[in-house]
Amino acid sequence: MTLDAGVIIVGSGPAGAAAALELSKITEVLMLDIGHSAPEESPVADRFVELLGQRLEGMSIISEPYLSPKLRSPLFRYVTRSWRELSPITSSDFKGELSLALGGLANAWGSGLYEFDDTDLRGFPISYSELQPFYLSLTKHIGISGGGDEVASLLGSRECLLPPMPVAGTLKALYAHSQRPKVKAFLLRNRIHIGRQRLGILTEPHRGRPAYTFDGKDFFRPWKAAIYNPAYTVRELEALGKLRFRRGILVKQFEEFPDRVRVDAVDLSSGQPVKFSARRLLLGAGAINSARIVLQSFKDYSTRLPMLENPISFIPFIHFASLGSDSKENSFTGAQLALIFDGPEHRDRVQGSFYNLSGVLSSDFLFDFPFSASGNLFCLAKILGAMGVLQIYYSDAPNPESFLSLSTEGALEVHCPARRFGKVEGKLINALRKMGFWSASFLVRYGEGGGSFHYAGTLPMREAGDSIGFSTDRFGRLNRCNHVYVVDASSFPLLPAKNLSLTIMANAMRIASKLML
Amino acid sequence: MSRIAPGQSDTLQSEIAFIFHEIFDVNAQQEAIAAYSCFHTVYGASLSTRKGVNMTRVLNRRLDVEAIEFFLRTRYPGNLLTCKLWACAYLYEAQEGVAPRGRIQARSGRITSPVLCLVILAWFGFRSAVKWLKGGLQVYWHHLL
Repeated sequence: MTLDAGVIIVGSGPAGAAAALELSKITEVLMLDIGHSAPEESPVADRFVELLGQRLEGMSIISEPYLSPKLRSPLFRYVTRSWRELSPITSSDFKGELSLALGGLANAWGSGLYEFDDTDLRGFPISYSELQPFYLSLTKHIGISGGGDEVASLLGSRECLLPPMPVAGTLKALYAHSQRPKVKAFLLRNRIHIGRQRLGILTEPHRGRPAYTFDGKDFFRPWKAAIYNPAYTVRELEALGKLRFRRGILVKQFEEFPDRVRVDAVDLSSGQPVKFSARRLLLGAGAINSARIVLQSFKDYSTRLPMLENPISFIPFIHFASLGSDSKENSFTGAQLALIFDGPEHRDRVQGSFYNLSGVLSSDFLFDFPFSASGNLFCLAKILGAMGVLQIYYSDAPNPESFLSLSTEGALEVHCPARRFGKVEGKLINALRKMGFWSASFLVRYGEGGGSFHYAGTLPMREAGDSIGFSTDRFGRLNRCNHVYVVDASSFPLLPAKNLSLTIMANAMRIASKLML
Repeated sequence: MSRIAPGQSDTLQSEIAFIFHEIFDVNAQQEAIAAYSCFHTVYGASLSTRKGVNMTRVLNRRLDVEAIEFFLRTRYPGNLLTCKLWACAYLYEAQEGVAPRGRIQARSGRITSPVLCLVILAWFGFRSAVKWLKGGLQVYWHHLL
């Protein structure tokens, strides 16, 4: 039997790209994915089409369920294209999105790239020291900006970081307030840490990619090379001849043989079934789709796999002293400041990211103010620039209400109820007020089930001898299999509050580095 | 962008022209008018399920569309007129400047004092209350629902 490659990787998101980066040093790698790409870069002459889309996709919140501004933006529609048809989910409470794009959901991420420390990794069968070399390697590969204050050490090592992104607008004032000795002491007493972000955005040219330029169009331009996307790594490896990438391939299932593993897929361009063989298979299609492939492979329609997701909430706030100011100077759409809360109000650390409200179309917020249309338009012009949003992420652990299973029709049944906390929000609102920023509990919005887009834990890694059901060992090998490994967040047994992307990548590299071929 | 039937298109053209003039104090350009028609084609199925309002009567009698919308928004969130006005806001933003918030920002560009902003907000609060009353009266006097 001729093998198509030494290793097949399914998925081109953070996990697949990072595993390929490591594996391409030692073997021939074949990557399979649908791989939708951003439209070719070209000047868009019609600003209606650029901002709102050919079919006015940018206005969809008027009459369709809420979709985040970046995913709604016309030129970013490829990120979530066709997943509902090709990876169907039936659910009454899952309001999230999946991606079949080259680079996955990272095409529209907030760019926060944090390391999990040993506190975050409690409950994992691995430690920080096992991930550390790969964190460092990725920091050099991606070009991560950050550091500059003590919060940096809570987000990861400062080694090899590029200078941090400048903070702009209202958040510049917030950062300045948070660094005043009295305020800082208050924050520390309340176990609140506010500091500069750690972002996959270049502040200096790095490995052939340019530094970030401020043009206020991050939400409308998917080609900004300064904002890291795993697709860059895939393309780079492909250009170097270290990776073969087969686009338009929908992987359905795998079958193991003593000396190899075979992948059964559909070539979407022809609609014909195709098969690929390799010595090892790495699943990196994301926590939900990797679980789907595993359940389909075992034709298991009864097992309920756990599902983890970061519950989220949003705290809008306003700085009255900034009313009337123009916040566009140096503003970008990534997370500008980071927050870590480790007080007694919640069992685990809580992580937050501060965003300003520039960059998106201001009409998104037209009816978020309580006046008639003219008053609301004034608010868009003069109040929005003084506002910001603190997005809060909570950790998650397996619970009986969140799970997924495969139906006999082939759709995944996902149960992912929304969860609301509130005590932490109250504490943070008090802290904001202390810094001169006003908010109130009734303004807090809670995310719906699946709304964080951070999914994990469907095929959790366990200590050796502790393997039950569909789980993996600490090296990512799937229980019941000899040649199949899981490299994405499926293998996280718990989900810390911190943004998981960099750890997905580091863990994928760790697993790839230990792979016995 | 796709178009809709000529007869309906004329009505929609009148609608957007009226709303642009009344709310934004500018004329709607051809691209905005075409996009407004497209909006009704693309999202028509969803719009047809919303609480309706007699737009022909609003246009013919040149009623206070801002007041009527504000009253309906408080009584019937997501009603048809609010959707139309929201669509017009997006089209106005696209028409008036490539950079997001460009024109909307510039419209009241000279006001930079926080205190003055608060005073103006207080004025808009009072004005909105008056608009709400006016809108309610117009809705019932002119049988707009």
